[in-house]
Amino acid sequence: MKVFAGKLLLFFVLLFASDYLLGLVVNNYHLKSENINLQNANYGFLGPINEDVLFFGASEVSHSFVSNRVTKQTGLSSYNLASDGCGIYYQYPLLETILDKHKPKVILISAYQLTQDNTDYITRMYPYYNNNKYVKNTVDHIHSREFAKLTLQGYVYNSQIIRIFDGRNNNEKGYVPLPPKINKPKNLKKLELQPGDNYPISEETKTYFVKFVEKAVENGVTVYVYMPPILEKINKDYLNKVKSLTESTGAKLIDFSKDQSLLNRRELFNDRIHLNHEGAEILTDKFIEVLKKDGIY
Amino acid sequence: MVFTSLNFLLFFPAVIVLFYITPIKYRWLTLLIASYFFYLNIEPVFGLLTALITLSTYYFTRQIDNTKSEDKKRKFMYINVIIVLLPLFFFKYFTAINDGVFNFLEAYDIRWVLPKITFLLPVGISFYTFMAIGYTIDVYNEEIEAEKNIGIVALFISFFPLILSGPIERANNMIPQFKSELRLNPKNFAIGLKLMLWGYFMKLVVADRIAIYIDTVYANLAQHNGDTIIFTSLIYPIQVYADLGGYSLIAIGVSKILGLDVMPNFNRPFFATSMAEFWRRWHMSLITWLTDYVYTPLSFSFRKYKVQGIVIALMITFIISGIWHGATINFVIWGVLQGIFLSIEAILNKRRTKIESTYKLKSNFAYVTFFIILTYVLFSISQVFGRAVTFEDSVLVFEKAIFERGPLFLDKTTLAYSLIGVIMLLLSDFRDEYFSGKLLLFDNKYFPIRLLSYLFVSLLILWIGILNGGQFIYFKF
Amino acid sequence: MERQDLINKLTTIFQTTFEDNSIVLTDELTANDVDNWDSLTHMILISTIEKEFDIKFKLKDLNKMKNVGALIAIISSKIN
Repeated sequence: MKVFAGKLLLFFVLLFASDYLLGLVVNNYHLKSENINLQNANYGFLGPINEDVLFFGASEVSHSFVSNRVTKQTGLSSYNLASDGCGIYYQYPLLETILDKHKPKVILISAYQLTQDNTDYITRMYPYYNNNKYVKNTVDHIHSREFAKLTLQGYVYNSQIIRIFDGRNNNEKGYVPLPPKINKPKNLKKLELQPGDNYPISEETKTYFVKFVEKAVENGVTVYVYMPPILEKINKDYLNKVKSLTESTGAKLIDFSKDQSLLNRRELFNDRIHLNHEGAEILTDKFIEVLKKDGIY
Repeated sequence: MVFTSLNFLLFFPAVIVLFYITPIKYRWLTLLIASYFFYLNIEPVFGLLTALITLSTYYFTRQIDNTKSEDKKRKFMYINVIIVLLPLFFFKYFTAINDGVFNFLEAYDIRWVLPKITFLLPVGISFYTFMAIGYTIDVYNEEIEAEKNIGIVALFISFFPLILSGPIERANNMIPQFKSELRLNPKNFAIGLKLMLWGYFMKLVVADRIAIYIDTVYANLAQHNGDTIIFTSLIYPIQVYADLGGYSLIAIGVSKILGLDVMPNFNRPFFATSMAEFWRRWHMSLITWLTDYVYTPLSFSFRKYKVQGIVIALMITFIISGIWHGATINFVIWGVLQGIFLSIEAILNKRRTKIESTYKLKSNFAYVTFFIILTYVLFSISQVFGRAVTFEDSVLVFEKAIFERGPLFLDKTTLAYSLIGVIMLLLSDFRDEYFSGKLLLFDNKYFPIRLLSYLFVSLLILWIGILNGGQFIYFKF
Repeated sequence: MERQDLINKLTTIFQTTFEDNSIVLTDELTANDVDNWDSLTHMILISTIEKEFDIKFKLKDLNKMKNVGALIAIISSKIN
């Protein structure tokens, strides 16, 4: 039995050691990754960020705001920090990390975040867990047992290896242009809006969203809460909730969910939620107009 | 707590420690307590159900042994079988039947008295119910004496490695083992841990990875083209094999560590050259159960009708197998298909074996390969009904497969990781099937090679296994 | 019936059911040793035996037929 126990111990020691070494190697490539989501996460959590206009959200933001266009027309530096599929539990520690070292002039946060009810995307922050107290706090709060599993590098970088090497070269300050789709699914050709889902917002999500906006506002940032133009009818209940949350925090609501100048032009959309590059340029221009009206530049 | 949860990884070592410090005489009791703890942790209320089934089974099996009258014995057997089947029937099929009646009457504007209700299915009920029924029938058939110790009966029905997904064990294998002197020893530890490691590999690296992809396609059938759907349906059997097969290996490994030998559930099913052979290699504990307790009695009753009797017995057995898997029309169709395949094979069997022996086809590479592929494809086709949730979806699958062509939807992550896992799994089975004893890794005689193999597989599980919900295939429609 | 007569009659039944005139019955012979003898053809065999020996088996008897020797014993007990 002793021999067996010895062999078992040897196995575990070697497992932890090889896992750790593999982690060092992968971490190195992770930092250099050209995958746009990983790049944005790296830039956001490791920085240093010093842009004046920052965009937060998931894919409904990453394809919709052309940071370079903002810079060209307003002279303000800009970065689109949006990351596919990431909800408010990603955005909040990201904001805290950035505000530690820099106060941007403007932040846009998508209210579409509030519909994200599952928390699986927090795995995107695992590579920063051990070095970032804000990430650690949020992860520990949402999934209390993760700290044990995160001692294993394989768990931190689980399934990331292919993604780390799957990227593109041109990062347009975080913005990801979608080329207009030629063959679109049939139901986009119809002009009526589809009935939207009912979006319940969990208390936890609400809390974090309010914390996000309040934290930005108390750091002197002008915060815009963004309702995207989507080809699903957003229900009144959800819209009102977003409105009241925005008003209670001192942020401004920019609501494109009923903007017919966008919604009527199907050629600007690639699917029900995502604008293509043509649509993004138009939307960015509209946002720039808001900035001008509010005296930001 | 499922095998792949952190809770189980804490629970099991604790059980081993408790087991170790318990005097041998009472180790079965430790296992019983652990099993109820395990089950109550998942389904507190349904632990009561398990206990009730145990009480009923204990009482009636003892009655069968204590009665002399043949008629009374048979009556006791039937009563317990019905009692034990009632919860299964109720939880699994009540909703389906009630909904069916509701919808049927609604078409005629009649309001059915009962509302549509959904019940949460008690986890494991399909498995331990069958074990209890098997035990009852075995006592009646004098295969085993009714166990006098109710604790042992309770343990047999609730034994935690088996209670969630089998293998569906037999009383005459498990009860003598539970009553024997259970010991821990290094050899059993080594064998058990190896089985568990490979089981976790199959489940986490292969099954759960493929599942994400297949779920994405089947959840959006309308958006995917026929070629993608064909590809998805062809790899679905691999997912099921890796999932249930992997889980079974973990169950068998856990039992082995505790000194118990549990029957295997899979025997490299994809090397079968006929559907009959396939069913002797796939989910073996279920099939042998159905053969012994359903097919044999049925075919025995119908033996006057010769081949027709056999066909009817096959059809009924596999329809029961179908609805055991799920309470939908799709599973009935699935069962019917298996019955049809096997009936055709049964009828043609004599002719086939004659041709095979005349031309020595069994050692002909092309012949064997052709039938391996044919068997696999037939099974994949029947599995569409096992995967698609509604009948309409199944129809859609076949419609698109036949008429719609297009580019294959497959993301790099899924492709890369599942390729590694699937190739390793199939190569391992291939080696065991045709080169048994050679090119061993887990069982290599040199410790360093074994150690490297364990490390490699463990690292794969950690780095590319599905360990959390943070995986999704991003597909923009 | 003499045991040897029983065995002769049984041999004929086996050879006909499994279409193999080379089958020789021994006590240890099981389904694994005979081509085509599986759970499907087993019932045909049983049915034929019942007819030829004018006996009736019970389901319980089936489970006790582990090999040909046991089968012969059960047939014997039913004839006498």
